[in-house]
Amino acid sequence: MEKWAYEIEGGSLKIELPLRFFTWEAITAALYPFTDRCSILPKLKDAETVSVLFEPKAGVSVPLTDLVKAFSNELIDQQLRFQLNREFGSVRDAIVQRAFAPVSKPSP
Amino acid sequence: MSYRILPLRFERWSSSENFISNDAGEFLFLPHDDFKRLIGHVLNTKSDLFLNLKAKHMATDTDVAPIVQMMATKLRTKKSTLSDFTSLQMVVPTLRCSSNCIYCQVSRKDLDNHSVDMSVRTAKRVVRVIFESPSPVIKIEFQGGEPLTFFERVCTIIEEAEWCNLFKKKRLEFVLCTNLTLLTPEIARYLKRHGCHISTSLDGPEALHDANRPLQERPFSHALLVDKLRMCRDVLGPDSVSALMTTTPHNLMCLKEVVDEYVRLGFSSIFLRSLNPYGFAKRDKSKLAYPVEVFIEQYISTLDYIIELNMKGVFFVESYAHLLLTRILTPFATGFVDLQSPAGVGIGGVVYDYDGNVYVSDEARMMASVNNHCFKMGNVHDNTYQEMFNGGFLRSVIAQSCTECLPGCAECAFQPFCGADPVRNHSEQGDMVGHRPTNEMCKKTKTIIRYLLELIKRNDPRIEDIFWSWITQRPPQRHLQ
Repeated sequence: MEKWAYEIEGGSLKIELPLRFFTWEAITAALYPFTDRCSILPKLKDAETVSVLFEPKAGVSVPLTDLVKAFSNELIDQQLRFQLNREFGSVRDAIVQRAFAPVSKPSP
Repeated sequence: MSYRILPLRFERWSSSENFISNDAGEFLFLPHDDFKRLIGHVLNTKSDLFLNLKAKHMATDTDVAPIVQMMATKLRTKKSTLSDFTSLQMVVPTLRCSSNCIYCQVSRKDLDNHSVDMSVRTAKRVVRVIFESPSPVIKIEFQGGEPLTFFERVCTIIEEAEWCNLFKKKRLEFVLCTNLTLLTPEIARYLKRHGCHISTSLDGPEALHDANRPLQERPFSHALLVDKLRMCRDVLGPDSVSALMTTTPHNLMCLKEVVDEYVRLGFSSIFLRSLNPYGFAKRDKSKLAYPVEVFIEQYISTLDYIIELNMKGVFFVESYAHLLLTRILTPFATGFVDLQSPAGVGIGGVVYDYDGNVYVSDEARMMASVNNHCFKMGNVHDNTYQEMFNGGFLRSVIAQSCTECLPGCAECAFQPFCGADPVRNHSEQGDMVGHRPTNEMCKKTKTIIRYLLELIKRNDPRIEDIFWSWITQRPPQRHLQ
């Protein structure tokens, strides 16, 4: 799959995302903020694609085209966070370890 | 020249800017193009922007090791409240109360119900447990019920604590949380002798206060409160009494009037608190609850009003903003147990109920008052200090309350200024972790932090002066004169 695609049908939204561009961690993190208004079902469609179904919760009005735009931005942000964390995660770990070294438990 | 991006979090601030922060709470507003250049590693390392990022330890073109050391020191400073362990020790001498507040969060009991009084044996055991805390500061706060309905037990605890402290030599402080109505000059003099501070409740001018906080025996309490407040200040000193307010539907739309009443009665601060959903407040939710969005709106307009008051020369602080501003603008930690990471429950503050039961927070005790004991750490008669404070239960609660690894919080750019409340999450959302997209505390805290950052971003020297005067607790010096 070379690009991501969406489809609005019967009041629900289906998005297909290529794993070449987005990690599973970034996708699930990007889905989380939308769990207040939608029931969300992500599943692996094949080795290269994640398929996500958004169904608005009962009584909640969700303009689905707006949802696509908001989710797109969120996904890009989460993917970037994932990549940045790969870049500086070890530094963050070292900072935390050093900060709390005086009270850290000795290794068994 | 190449550079390395250091740990940071970002949030889209507007259509043209990002907000970025690091674990030490240093922050920056960055235009999207600059942000793109930063993450694309194409910034000029000689540029002002890069030097600014470097100064805030968000990027570096030099060796990382010294930065790790420096950031570790900054992080340790931000988390320094952890090093003391439990200092706030709340004790409930009785659940009996002379008030009949519509929102009572502790499910108070009638004045003649002595089954909810703490025994001498329990009181002495509580003090023994309190003094096992490694904290160099012990603040014993008397909660209720109304502690003055059982002043005898307050005295037992004060005197027992002072005795223990002859050997422990800690900084010992007392706070009495009281509606003041039962205060006599004799009691006031006793409190003065023992250096006890007083915290009372004031929900607004007469009509609003009486609507929220009638007494059990009569439908009003404001006039009596004002009378006792005067007596209290005469005996204990002008700064001996602080007050807290609770927002209900009665005063929600009149918060500016509440502020005016605080100013009129000589208080120099107010904590604009929304209603906590415990006890009667939870039981009568249909009558007492209001949308969090309305509270936020009222909070912000009242904060603006307080800032205007300060601009007119009235030194008056909004305490929640003061707390958040200290976190945003200084490298220091603040000891507010309801908004810490890890949460302050048990390790920052703890509650000893009248029967010796120990709870991780006052809110946990409030939950217990409606038979939900899931945050009970033990009982002073049955459990040792080590079992309660170093056991699996408290460790598990704390492990689930680090915003650094909670869903929705881990990546939040406001995280260094925020905190977790596992008890509130459990009460409102059914588990300690909570669900951020529907979490009212999250919505409230993030919106208020964002508003404060907007005010800071304006670079208005008058507002800066006011914020710094709140942080330093001194009237503004420069631009307001």
